[in-house]
Amino acid sequence: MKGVVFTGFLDLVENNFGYEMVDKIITSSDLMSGGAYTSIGSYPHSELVQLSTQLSRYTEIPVPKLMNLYGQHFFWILAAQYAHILSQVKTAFQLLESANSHIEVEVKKLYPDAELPQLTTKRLNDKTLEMVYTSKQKMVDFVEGLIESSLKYFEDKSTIEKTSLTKDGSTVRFIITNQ
Amino acid sequence: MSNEIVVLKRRVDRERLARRHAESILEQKALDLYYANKELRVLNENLEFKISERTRALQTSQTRLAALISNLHSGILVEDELRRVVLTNQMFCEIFSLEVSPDKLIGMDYFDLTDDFKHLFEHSETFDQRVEAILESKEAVVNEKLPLRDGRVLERDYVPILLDGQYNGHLWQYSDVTAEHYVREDLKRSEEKYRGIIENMELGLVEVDNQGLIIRAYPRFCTMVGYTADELLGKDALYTLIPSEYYPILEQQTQDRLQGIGNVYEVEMIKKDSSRIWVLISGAPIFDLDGSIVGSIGIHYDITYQKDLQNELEEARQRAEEAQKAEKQFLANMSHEIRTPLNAIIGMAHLLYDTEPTAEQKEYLSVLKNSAEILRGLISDVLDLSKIRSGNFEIQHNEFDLAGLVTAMVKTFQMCHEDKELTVELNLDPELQNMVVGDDLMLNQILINLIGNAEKFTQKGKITVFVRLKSRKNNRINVEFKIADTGIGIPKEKHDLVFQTFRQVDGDIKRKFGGTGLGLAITKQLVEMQGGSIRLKSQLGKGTTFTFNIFYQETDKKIASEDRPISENDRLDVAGYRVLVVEDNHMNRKYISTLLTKWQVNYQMAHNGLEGVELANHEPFDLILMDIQMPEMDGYEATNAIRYTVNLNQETPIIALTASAMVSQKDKAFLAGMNDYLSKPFKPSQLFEKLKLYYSQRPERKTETASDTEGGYYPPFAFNKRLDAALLTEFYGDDLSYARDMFDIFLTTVMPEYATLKEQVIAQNTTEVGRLAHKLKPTFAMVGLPDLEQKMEAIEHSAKRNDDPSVWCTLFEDFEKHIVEAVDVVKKDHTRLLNIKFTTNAVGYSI
Repeated sequence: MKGVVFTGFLDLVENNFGYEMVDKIITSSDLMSGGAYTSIGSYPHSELVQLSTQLSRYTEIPVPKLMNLYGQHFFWILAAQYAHILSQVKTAFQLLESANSHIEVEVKKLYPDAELPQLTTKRLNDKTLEMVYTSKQKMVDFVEGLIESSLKYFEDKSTIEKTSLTKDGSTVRFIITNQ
Repeated sequence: MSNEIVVLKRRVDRERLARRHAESILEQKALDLYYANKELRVLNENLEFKISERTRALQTSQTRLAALISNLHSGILVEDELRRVVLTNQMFCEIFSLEVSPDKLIGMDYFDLTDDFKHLFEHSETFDQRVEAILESKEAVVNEKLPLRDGRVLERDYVPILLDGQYNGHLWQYSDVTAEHYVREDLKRSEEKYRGIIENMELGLVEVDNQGLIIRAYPRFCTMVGYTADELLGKDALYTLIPSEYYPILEQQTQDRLQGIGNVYEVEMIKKDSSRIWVLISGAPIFDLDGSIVGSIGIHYDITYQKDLQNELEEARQRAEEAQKAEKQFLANMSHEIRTPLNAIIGMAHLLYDTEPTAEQKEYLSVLKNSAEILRGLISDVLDLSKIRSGNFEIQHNEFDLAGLVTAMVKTFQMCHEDKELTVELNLDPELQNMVVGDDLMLNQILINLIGNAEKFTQKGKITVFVRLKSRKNNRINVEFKIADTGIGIPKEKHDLVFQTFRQVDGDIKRKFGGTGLGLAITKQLVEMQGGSIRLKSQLGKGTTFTFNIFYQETDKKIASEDRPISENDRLDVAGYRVLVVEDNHMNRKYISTLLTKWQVNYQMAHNGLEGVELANHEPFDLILMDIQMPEMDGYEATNAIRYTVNLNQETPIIALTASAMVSQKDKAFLAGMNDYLSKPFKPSQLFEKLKLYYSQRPERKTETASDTEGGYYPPFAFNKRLDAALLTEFYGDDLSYARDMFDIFLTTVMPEYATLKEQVIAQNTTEVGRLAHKLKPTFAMVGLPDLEQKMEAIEHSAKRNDDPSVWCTLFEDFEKHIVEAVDVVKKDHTRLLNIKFTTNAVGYSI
């Protein structure tokens, strides 16, 4: 998993709960990296799971909620970094539709070893977009947060309906409907 | 330390750790980048090297191309799509006499350029027009001929230049082909010239392709075969012009032609009007410029006239051969006609000596005898020569006493000259003690000729006969004979003449010594026929020596010391012997009867064949002497009758008395069933020898009831005397059923054809008469009527000679007279043959 996910996560924790909380969840976790992350490095996904689990324990906020919040926050990190991509699209649907083809290619160019989830989109009608997410990292809540932020970015008022297509939650279908 | 500081310290540590991690990642990335750059640089260098190499190659090929174009032996002009000159070469300027360097022309407008050389073309007025037409079509043009006013000939090529299908200009190429053009023209002209010459020489020319189809027929050939050239063009020469019987010849010729072989041959050709001509064809293959065979040419020469002439010559030759045959027959007949009476004269003269004549009578007798003998010698010489020349003189292989023969011969001459001043001596090699095998009669004749010759030219003096054994190899001996005289001799310059026919040393000799001049020529031929050679040595006034040699086969038998001349004892030897003499000539009868009476031999005389057969039917004889040519029934017929009918003399030896010495007559005699022959005129001693010979071989007489047929005897069926039994036997042997079938065929199929012949004779159709006569001719011999065959042959020849019809009409009338009687006989014998009951075994049958 890209280091930016870890640095972004720890920045968010520090901003909301102070560095003490950051230090607490790092020291209470058993981390190969020792909790020292750089955005250009790559780290095991299990470390993020440990950190989010520890944060949930101290803050008493459930992990899915934490991941959703982090997804919403991470959109803004990306938006800042990839503003030129955002400028090319006009709607949230367009952005989501270009996620797999456009964004992924861009990401792979910079990070050849990046393990990206698979996203497929399909317009069911003018106002409805179906999006299927497949990833062994099972970052469903994180992805939902990203979608929510992107809708917010384009000021769309939409509802998101989420259905797990597999038992382990590795494939999930989102139905996004514009109001 | 407060908690805050501890946390902060840990934070700083984490930050440092993260920074170091990031730095090491960046370090690694920088390294990767360095290597990537390095690799990129190497690739770039390679690429640059390759580009410079390619650029160099391109420059080289451009240089070469430019050199090629400027040195090309053709004038090159390349223009762009706007007709501006892009490239040209030195040759272009030279061809059109443009006194500028080719570089100066580049960029020039084409129209300005052509104005400088257009006028050089013979058809300058149409030059632009043609160029425009070519440019309009934009199709490549090659080898377009353009004659120039100064006599040169150019060839122009036009090639459009297309780049990716886009028209980009074009190339003109001008080549000076003046030399080739004139060579080709000359060749064509000379070809036409020789064709013209051959055509004028009455030689018909025709050209065919490899399939045998006519591709060109020249006027003379067309006249020859009666077709027009258009009618012949594309036709198969073989099937159109050649009769099918010549196909094999022509096929062979075609094979030869395909292998490049020329030939001359003769065939017939069919003209358009179906008539035929004979042509001599000289055929040769035609080659194209590459040397491959594209067809053949035939030069025909009409040789019909020559062929006709050749055929006429062949006919003339055949006629001449027939004439020669007739001449031989004439000689044989002459020998009969002359020798028979002569024989009687000489015989009678001999007998007259026994009648105690007066001295005067004796003198007359000796003149009579000598004259007759000279005449006989003359006839013998002429006959011998003709026999030798016709190849009918055959060498005998008799066992004889060589020493005895020479001794007797010399003794005869000695006796003749007891009163003359001439001695004859013999010098005989004692080695010659054995009997030899060879031709004793020929040796006899050679010695008579040579000793006689010596005697003639030696009035006084000596003749010596030397005989010596020259060599002996196994049992083959070479005997040398030498006859030396002391006579007048022969001048050296005449030595070569003596062996030539009818030549004598000089005319004087002929008057003085007589003779035909044939003797030595015959002698030489006789010697050479026996593998020997003869030569002569002579000195004028001193004498002559003839030397010859002959090869003989020596036997183991020693010579019995017998004395040859007829003694009183001999007379007793044949006494009681019974002889039948069948002879029509009165004089010969008298001669023979006197001799037989003298030797106390019993005999019966028959005046002709018929009488002879009659006598043979009633009385058994020990020997029959049978003349050949007789009226009523000749010797062959009589012999046939005696041999093939049941009578008392079926097995009695029969000796033919032939007047002709022809081999054919001898053969015919044996064929007829005769056992031996005696050539007339014969001497008493010759007849005596024959009598003695057959007397000694006389078998015990058979009982008259002996009817059991022994092997070798003919069945008791006798053909009618009118038919040639010998001939029939020759044809059918004893297979009478075969004879019956042939008789049947003759009567049922040949006779109707004879009727047709008769019709054609009446219609005076010469060709048909000749053809039918030829066809019918041999059938008469098949039923034993050779005489009618000869008559039919006469008709055939007369018709084929194109005689006046009256000639062969007369011959046919004569034939008609004989045929009725002859067919009647054939019918009767046919009926008799039909009555024979043949058993399943073809050999045994009964009447």
